[in-house]
Amino acid sequence: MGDRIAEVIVLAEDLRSGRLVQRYVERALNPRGVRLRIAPAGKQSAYDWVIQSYPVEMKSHRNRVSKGANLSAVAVHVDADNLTVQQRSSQLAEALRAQGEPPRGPGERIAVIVPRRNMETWIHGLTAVPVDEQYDFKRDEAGRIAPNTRQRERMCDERIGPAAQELHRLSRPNAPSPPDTLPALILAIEELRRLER
Amino acid sequence: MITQFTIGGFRAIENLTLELGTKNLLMGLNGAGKTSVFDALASIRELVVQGERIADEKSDEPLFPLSSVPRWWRNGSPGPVEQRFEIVFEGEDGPIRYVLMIQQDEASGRSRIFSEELLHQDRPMFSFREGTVQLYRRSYEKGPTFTFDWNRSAVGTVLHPEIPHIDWFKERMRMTTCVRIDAPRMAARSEKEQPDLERDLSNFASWYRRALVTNAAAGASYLSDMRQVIAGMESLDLHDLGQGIMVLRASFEQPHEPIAPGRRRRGTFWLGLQELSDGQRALIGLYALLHFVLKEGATLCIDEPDNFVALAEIQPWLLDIADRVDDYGAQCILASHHPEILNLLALDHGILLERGGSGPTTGIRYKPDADLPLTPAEVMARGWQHG
Repeated sequence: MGDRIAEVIVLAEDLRSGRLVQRYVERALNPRGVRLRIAPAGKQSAYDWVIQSYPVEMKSHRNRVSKGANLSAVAVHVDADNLTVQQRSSQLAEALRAQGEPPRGPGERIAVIVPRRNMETWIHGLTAVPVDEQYDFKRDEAGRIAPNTRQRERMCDERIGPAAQELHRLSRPNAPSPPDTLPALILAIEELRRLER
Repeated sequence: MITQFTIGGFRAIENLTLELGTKNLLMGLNGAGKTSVFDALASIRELVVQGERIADEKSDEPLFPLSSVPRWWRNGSPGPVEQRFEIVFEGEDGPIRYVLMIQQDEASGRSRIFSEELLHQDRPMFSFREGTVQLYRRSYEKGPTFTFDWNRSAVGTVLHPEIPHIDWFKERMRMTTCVRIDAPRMAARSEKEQPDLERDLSNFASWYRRALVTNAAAGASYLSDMRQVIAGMESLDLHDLGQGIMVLRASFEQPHEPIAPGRRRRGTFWLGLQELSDGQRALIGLYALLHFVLKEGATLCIDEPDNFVALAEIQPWLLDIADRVDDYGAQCILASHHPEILNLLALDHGILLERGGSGPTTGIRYKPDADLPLTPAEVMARGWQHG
């Protein structure tokens, strides 16, 4: 890696997801600043907000780079939920096209991070909890909303730091992914490496 | 961690129970009661930990003056009225509940502790009622009794090593810090070490002097952060003036002077804390709280942490505090109107305090309309928080 990254903008659906990316970025890139932007309200509008904000952030980033701020980067988070990573990524690409913004180039420091099912799946998976991509931490085994959701959320928050540490370990150049690594996480690791180019 | 805080009869708060998590943001209009929540908690801390009397005639600011009773209670009551406070801590083996009742008599002008109880899993460990202390044994059976001063906390004063939960509670209260930073009052001069911070941080230098002695490792990480937060700052130093007096000062990198073609002299200059800007002083205070106060089991309450601080400085500090709360098992309770803080914390951690007209305060979890694509700050600015 060359010069120290100056600033990273993190665009995320929610605070917990944004904080995992922020903590990863701080650990992996040690930037001078991280600016976290999270969606203002509930789940559906959170997704819409990220889709709408993405072209705006891309335009701002490209504007900064064109004026010499080469060491800036953008990380965008949106949960896959019940879609595939490819489907969500396509929606983001379509949002760029609809706003007349050129597609993301291979050399741009812009990472698109799409956890499946959502970021909590990764937070648990990265901290040695056995999960698959259908895992929903807010529901019990019967699919009902778990009664102790607040307790679960707190435990999830306490795992953000260790999860970011593990994500950093996995994303190091040539670091092998364990065989049980979640498929969406393998794609995200490649995306995160874009930030360091 | 404090999981529940109940206030019955304090200023505009008639009966309020706050359910608290590790990270909390108190929101609401001016006069909704945010500062009163912190003042009540800070007064209980001073009563239990610092051994202060509830209504010390010599004190300029008694902990629970008669004026702290809701005005409408005082107007309508023929006899004494009782203020009730309850704090529930998450203990290692079940909840620890502290219940304090203060009797206020407007006719005689007298305030006194009516009762004080400490319970573990709802079983009594300690009771002080109408001037008599009832001790309990480890098996929760009643032990000896004796009389005690009605104006002071018996739980905080009496030593009772047979039940370790009592010391645990006192330690958790000691680790509860409530502040509202008043940067212009943060003095540089220290005459002695002080273990407790004044609520406005006016004794910051004396507290920092003590904090450095007890936690040198935190001092190193604090200075490392401050070098990044305040441009050009190199160190923060307690300069000894002799006779035990010290002055807190910061060193800055001197603008480089050319001394020869292609060569510049590197230098340093010092500024006393009082010579720094209000914003710089506030940052020094905010990051010190983060490094020295937020540790396992601690509760940090800050009223309007955004005061004096530049917009670009707020989010980095907020994210740092969230990281430390999660990593160290600490707790923070913030109160703010600032859009930067509302937009980051309200959705997940917001508690909305409200008063209907001049009536009592109520508190509910902030829950905006999920389909409303507005930031929490914009919702609050429009007064749409009720849907």
